[in-house]
Amino acid sequence: MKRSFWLLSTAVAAVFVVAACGGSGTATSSGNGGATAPGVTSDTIQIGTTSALTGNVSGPATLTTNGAQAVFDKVNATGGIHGRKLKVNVLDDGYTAPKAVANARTFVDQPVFAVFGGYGTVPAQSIVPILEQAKVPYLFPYQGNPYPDTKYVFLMMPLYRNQTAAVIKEAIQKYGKGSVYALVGKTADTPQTVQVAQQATTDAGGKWLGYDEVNQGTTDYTPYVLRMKQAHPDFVLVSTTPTDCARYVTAMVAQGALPAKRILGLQTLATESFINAVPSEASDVLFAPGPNAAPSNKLAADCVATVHKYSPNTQVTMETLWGCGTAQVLVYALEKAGTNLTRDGLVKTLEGMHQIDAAPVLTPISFSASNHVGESSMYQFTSSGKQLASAGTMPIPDVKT
Amino acid sequence: MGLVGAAAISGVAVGFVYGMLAFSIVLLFKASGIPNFAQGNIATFGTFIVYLLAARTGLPLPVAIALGFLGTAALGVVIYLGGILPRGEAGTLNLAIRTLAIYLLLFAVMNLFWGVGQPFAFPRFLPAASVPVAGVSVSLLSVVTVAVALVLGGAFWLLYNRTATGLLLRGIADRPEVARLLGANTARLSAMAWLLAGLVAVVVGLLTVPTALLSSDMMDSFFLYAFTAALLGGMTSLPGAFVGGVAVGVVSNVVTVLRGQEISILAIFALLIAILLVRPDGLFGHGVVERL
Repeated sequence: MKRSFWLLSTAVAAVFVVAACGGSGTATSSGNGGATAPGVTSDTIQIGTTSALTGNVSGPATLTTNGAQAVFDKVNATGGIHGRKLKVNVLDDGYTAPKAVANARTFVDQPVFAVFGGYGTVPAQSIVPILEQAKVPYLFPYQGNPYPDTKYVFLMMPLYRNQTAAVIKEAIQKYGKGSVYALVGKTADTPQTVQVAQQATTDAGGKWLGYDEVNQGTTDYTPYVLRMKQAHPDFVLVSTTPTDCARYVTAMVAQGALPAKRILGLQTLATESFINAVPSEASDVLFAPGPNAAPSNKLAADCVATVHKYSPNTQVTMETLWGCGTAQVLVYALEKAGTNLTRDGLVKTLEGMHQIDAAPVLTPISFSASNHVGESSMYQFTSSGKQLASAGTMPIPDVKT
Repeated sequence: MGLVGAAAISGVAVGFVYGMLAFSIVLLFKASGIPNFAQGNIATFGTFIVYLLAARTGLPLPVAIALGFLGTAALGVVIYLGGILPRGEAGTLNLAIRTLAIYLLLFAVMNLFWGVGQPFAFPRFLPAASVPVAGVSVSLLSVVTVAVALVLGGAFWLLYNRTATGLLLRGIADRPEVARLLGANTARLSAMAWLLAGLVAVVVGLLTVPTALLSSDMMDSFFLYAFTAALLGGMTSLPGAFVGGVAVGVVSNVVTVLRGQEISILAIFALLIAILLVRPDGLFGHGVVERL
């Protein structure tokens, strides 16, 4: 009897030890107090967000974070995901790489189950290697640079180079053939973006006039405007941070150098913050794609209501709706990943999504093992009288470089 | 006029912005013997004051600007009395490091209290019009910038050459020990220099913000060029600050349109090194001669 007791005790202890050691993804919720993966307990899922809460993109960045938080608050108020509440640790990176890296290391050490959201290319580029190495899913930052050969990084909006090709093609179809000049902010993807813009222009029957490459944070854009002005373009493509786009376009107006037809941009221009920052002379000739519907669109109604209810002091803008939409997709994926939540399980769930309307405010979403970019179409936007106007959607095909 | 001419003219305009900021740096250097690395952020701080009063409390812009001048002038005096005057004999390096700390402090304060929502579009106070100058379309803002810089330069010339206060300021700049022995209150005069530098900083901020948009780091690259301008013109020469500013502006813009941004930055600092090798005290500066 005594020997049996010791055998039983040893067996039970061994089960607990195995369960504890297997907490990184193979344990079951019943074997470890509900801790199925790092950052997951029986009643919480810990998420990390690094975003620019201060600094020169903090306006739009804060709106994306608030939009997402409204969704998480709604989910938590209605019982959470399979009984687990979402806890989000938002850290400020000030749109700088060193702070973003420090935040990512904090998340890895904490640990969080996944890193979600965030704003801009600079922080995203700097933390991808850290999160990928630590096998922490990094989901839906507001940026469109590619991260090939990563397993845990998922983007939502189409890549910048694909947006570039699509907006040039659509603009030439819509406003007639013409010449194109570009201002491009320096990123790792810049050479490909320029190559794609040039190719898209000639493919659409337009004339490529050239481009300027600038460091982000440039304050005097007058020399670049003068170079562009001398080329007399019909279209000017602007592809850099929202603040720098606004500075360039403001300098355009100051120099009386608006293009003959349209200012083209990527998703950063299809925002209220950009429209409000530039003189109306410029915003009235804007044409740009946006990754989500505008607040006035009925497809945004659910998000607008969620933000109004759970974050009533947050202004509902394009960025707010982006935060809301991407958070809805995260919630959808977490629910589909099931009770026995693991990081690899989440990755597999995402990769199984095909043309899913998980967030009405976004376009349909598809991921696969070879495609970690969710959206393949975007909304078209123009602006009139400082108001964004949606004009349907446009396909954003993948462009090979 | 071609691209180079247009770039040169726009370079003159932005050069006067660099020049005014350089002017305020030189003003303080002459009065207190230290390079003030916080001057750019003082300008940004003053612009924030105006913005907050005009855009968030609804004050008319002229009233907000007037209060912004008052607030920033007071800030300059407070920085001097609280951060520079105590243990002021600690040496140039110590005092220069203090100004670096003040730079970081102001940046942190702006981010803490007004960090969310940046960048802010400043209320427009000039129409987005342009005027032809030598066949080149020049923005109204650029024309106003040059005009303000010339008025400012003239006002300071009068102050330094036609008033007793100006004479005393020149006295503490050129011979501080002699001025002190003759009864000049150097602390009061230095405080006045910080006050004046604060006023100039607001002018620079207001002329920069329409195109740069308001954010905590708005003046960072301007300050780098302004400091270069001050060194180029000579840290002891007020007119030299303007000459240095215009030189930096023209070289920067012309080289940018011809060879791009990276070469432009290289050209400016190569020019600075060349000038300092040939004239160690800058184009218009003078060395300190001490009797042994």
